[in-house]
Amino acid sequence: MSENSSILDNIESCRLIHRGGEADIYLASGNSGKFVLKWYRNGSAFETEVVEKLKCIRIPGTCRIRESGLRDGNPYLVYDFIEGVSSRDVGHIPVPVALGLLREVAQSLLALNAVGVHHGDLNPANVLLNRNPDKSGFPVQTTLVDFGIVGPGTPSYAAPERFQGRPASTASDLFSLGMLLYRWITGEDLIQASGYEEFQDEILRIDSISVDEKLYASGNFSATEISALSPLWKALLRQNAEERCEDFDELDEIAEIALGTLDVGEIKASVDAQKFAKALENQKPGGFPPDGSANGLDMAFPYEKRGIAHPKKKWKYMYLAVFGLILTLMAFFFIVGTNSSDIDETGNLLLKKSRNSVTMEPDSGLESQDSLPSTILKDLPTPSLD
Amino acid sequence: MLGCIRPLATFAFALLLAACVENDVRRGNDALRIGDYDRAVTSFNKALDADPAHRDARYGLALSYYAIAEASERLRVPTFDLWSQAAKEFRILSNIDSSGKINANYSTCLFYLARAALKRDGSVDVMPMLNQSIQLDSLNYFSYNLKALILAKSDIPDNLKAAKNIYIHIITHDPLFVSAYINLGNIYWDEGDVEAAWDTWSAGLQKSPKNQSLIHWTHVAEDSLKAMVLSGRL
Repeated sequence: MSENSSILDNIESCRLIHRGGEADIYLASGNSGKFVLKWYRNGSAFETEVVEKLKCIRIPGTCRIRESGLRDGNPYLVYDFIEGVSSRDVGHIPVPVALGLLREVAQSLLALNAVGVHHGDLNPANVLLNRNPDKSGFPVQTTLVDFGIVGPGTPSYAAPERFQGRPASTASDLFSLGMLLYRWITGEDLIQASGYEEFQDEILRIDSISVDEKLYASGNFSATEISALSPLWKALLRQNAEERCEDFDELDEIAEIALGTLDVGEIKASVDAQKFAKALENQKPGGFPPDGSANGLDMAFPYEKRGIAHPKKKWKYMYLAVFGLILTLMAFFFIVGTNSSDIDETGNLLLKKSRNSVTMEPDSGLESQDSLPSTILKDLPTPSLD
Repeated sequence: MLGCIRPLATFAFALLLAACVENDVRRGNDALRIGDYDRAVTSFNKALDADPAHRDARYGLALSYYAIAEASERLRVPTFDLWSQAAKEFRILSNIDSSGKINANYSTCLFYLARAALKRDGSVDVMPMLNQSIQLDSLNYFSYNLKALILAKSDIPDNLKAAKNIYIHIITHDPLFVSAYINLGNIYWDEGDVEAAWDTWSAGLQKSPKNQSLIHWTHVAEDSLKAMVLSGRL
C-alpha cells in the first residue's frame, strides 16, 4: 500500500489501549472500519519476512495484517480488529472444550507453518474466542492474533530456547501451546514468577515440573482427565525442543486420542462446547487486543497524518472555506458590484469643462470689451467664465 | 481554529471597512457629477475619516472644492479661500498620487488661486505658483498668459521681451487662444509699434472674427495706420 493510501491517514479516532514492552497498541477506527495499530518503539521491530508473507495470504483462524511499514521512523502493523472474547478472560475451560480449542489453534498454526510462519507469542491474550456460526464445525471459533514476534514473547509462555535468543519455531510454538492448555484448563499459569530472569529459570527446568501432580493437587480434575492429558504435557512441555512432538499434525493426533480417552461421549462433549460457546456471547465482547489496562486516551495518534485531513480538521477547513467564500462574495458585492464611475473620469470632465470653454467657443463674446488692461487682470480669460 | 478565524475576521472587518469607504467615494462622485458639491464634500470627507490616504476620496474632495470655487468664479465673488482649500487638497493628494493623472487639474487650480490672490492683493508675488502650475501642465496656457501679463507690467526690458515670447509661444501652440493676440498687440501698441499691433490683432481676428475686442482694436489700429499714412509718418 502506498503512503498516499495508507490506512493510517484514513483513521479518524485512535485510542491507546495497551503499552507493551516493545510496542503500544491502539484501537483505531475510520471510514473503512476498525483496526488495531501496533506501534513499535524503543527500537523494536516486527519480522519483515513474516509480515510480508501474512499480508499476502488469508489463513483461517488468524487475524489479517492489513498494513505494515515505517511511519515517523517507527515500524508499525495494522491488523483487522477482531470482535471476540480473549481466552485470558474466560477462567478455566472444561477439559474437552480446551482440547477442542487446542485442536482449532493447532490447525491455524499448521497453516501458518505451511507458509513458513511461526507465531512466536502464543498466550491466552492472543487467542480470541467466538461462537462458531458454522454449526457443522467446532462450536467455538478461535482466532490467533499478534504473531511474528521477534522477541521471546510472553515470558510465562515462552519456550526455553526463546530465552536463549532463538527465533520462533514450530517447537517453540508447541511448547507455548502446552502452557496455554494448562492455563485454559486451570485458569492459571503453570509458571508464576516475579521477573524475567525468574521466568527463565523456572522454564528452563520445566522437565522437573510434574504437571500431572499439579493437576491432581488442585483437586479439580478427575484421574481420567489427568491421565488423558498426560501425553500432551510430555509432547509439549519439554525443555529440549527435540523431545517435543514433531509438528501440529502429531499434536492434533495426540489431542484426538486424549479426547477419546476422556470417554465423555461425543454428544456430551458437543453439548459442553455449545454451552461454552453460548457463555462467550454473554461475556462483554472485547476484541483484539482485549487489554483491560487500556488508559483510554482518545485521539492519541502516535503519528502525523498526511494528506487526508482529520475529520475535525475537515470541518475546520470547511468552515474556513465557507467563511472565505462569504468574504469573497462580500468583496465582489461591495467592490465590484458597487463600482461607480471613475473619479479620474470626473476630474477629466471638470478639466475639459474648464479649459475648453475659451478654445471651443472663441466667439462667445463674453470676454471684456475693454481689452486694454488698466490692471493686469483685465482681459485675462479664465477657464470657467466662458 | 481561533488562530485561523481571527485573521480572517480581521480581514473581513477590513474588507467591510474598505467596502464602506468605496461606497462613500461612489456617493461623493455621483454627487459631484450632478453638481451637489456640499454632499460630495461630506461623502468624500467621510471616506477620508476612515482612510485618510484614500486616493480617490482625496481627489474627489479636491475636485469638489475646485468645483465650488469655480462656481463662485461665475458669481464673481471672492474665491481666494475656496481656491486655497482646493489647492490644499491637491497638495495632499500629490503626496499620495504621483501618477500624473491629477496634474492638469492641480495646475488649473493653481492658476485660479494665483488669479484670486492677485484680485485680493495686486502686489502679491504669484510667480512661483504660476511656475508650478506650468511645470505641472505645460499645456495650461491660462497660467502662461497670466505670467506674461505680470511680466509685461514690469519695467524690466527683459521681462517685456519674455512676455512677448510667452504670447508667441501660446499663439504658436494654441492659435485659438484669443487673449494672447490681444495682450501681445497691447504690448506693441504701448511700444508705439502700431503696425505690429495691427498685424497681431488682425491675425487674432482671423481666428476669432466675432471677438469684439479684436474687432474694436483692429479698427483702431487701422485708423491709426491710415492717419499715419495721411500725415506722412508712415
